[in-house]
Amino acid sequence: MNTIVLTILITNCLIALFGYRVLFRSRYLFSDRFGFIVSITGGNIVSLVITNNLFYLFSNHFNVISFMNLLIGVAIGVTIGSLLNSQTLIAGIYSGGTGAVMGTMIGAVSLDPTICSLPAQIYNQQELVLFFGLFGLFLHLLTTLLLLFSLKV
Amino acid sequence: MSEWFGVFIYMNLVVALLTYIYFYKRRKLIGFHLGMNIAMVAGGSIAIGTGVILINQFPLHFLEITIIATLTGLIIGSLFGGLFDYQTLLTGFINGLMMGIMSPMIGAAASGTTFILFLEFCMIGAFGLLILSSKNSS
Repeated sequence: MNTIVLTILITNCLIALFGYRVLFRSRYLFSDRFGFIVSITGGNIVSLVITNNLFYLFSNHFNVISFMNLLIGVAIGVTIGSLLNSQTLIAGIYSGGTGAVMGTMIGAVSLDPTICSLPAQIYNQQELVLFFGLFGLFLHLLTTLLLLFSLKV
Repeated sequence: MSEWFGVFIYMNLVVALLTYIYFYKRRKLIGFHLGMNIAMVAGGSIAIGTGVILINQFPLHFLEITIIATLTGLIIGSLFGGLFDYQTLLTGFINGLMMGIMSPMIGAAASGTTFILFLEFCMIGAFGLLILSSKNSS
C-alpha cells in the first residue's frame, strides 16, 4: 500500500515542478490580476494533493504530521506566490494554508470515517485511500492543464 | 420531513439557471472584479448545497457523492465564470473544486433539518445579493 501512495506522491511532485518551471520562465508576462489568480489556483491544488498523500504515509504520528503539513502548505504557497510581487505573496500564503488544512482533513476522514459519524463498515480502508489518491491526481492534472492553457489565450 | 430534501436540489438548480439567464443578458455591463465574485459565490454555494443534501439522503454512498458534488461545483463555477473571461473561469473552477471536495464531510458531521434550512436561506440570499449588486453597479 505504501508503494502505491509513494508513487502517486512522486508523480504529483513531478507535475507540480513541471508546471512551476513553465510558469517561472514566463513570469515577466504576468499582469497583476493574472499573478493573483495563478497564486490562488496553484497554491490550493498543489498543497491539497501533496499534504493528503503525506498524511497517508505518516498517519501514525498525528500531531507531528498535522503540524508539518501546515508548514509545507505555507512553504508551497510562498514559493508559488513569490513569482510577482508582495500582493500575490499574501494570496499564496492564505491559499496554501487553506489547502493544507483541507488535505489533512480529507486524509483523517478517509482513514477513519467514524469521526464524521459516517458508518464504519461501508468501505474498507484501502478503497478510500486509493480513491482519494487517484481522484486527487486526476484533479491535479486537469487544473495544471487549464492553468497552462491560460498562457496561450 | 427528511424525505423531502431532494426538492431543495431541484430548487437550487432552478435558481442557478434563472440567475445564469439574467447574467447572460447583461454580461457586457459587468466588470471583471464583480465577475470574479459572481463565479466564486455561485460555484461554492451550489457545491455545498448539493453535497450536504445528498449525504443526508444517501449516507452509505460516500465516494459517489464526493464525485457528484465535485463535478457539480466545477461545472457550475466554470459556467458562471465563462460568461466574462478566461481568468474568472479559473477562479470559479478552483473554488467549486475545493468546496465540492469538502462538502460531504460537512454534511456528514453536521446534519439535521435546522442546518439544511439555514443553509438554503443563506444560498438563496447570496444569489439575491448577486443580482442586487449587479443592478447597483451598472
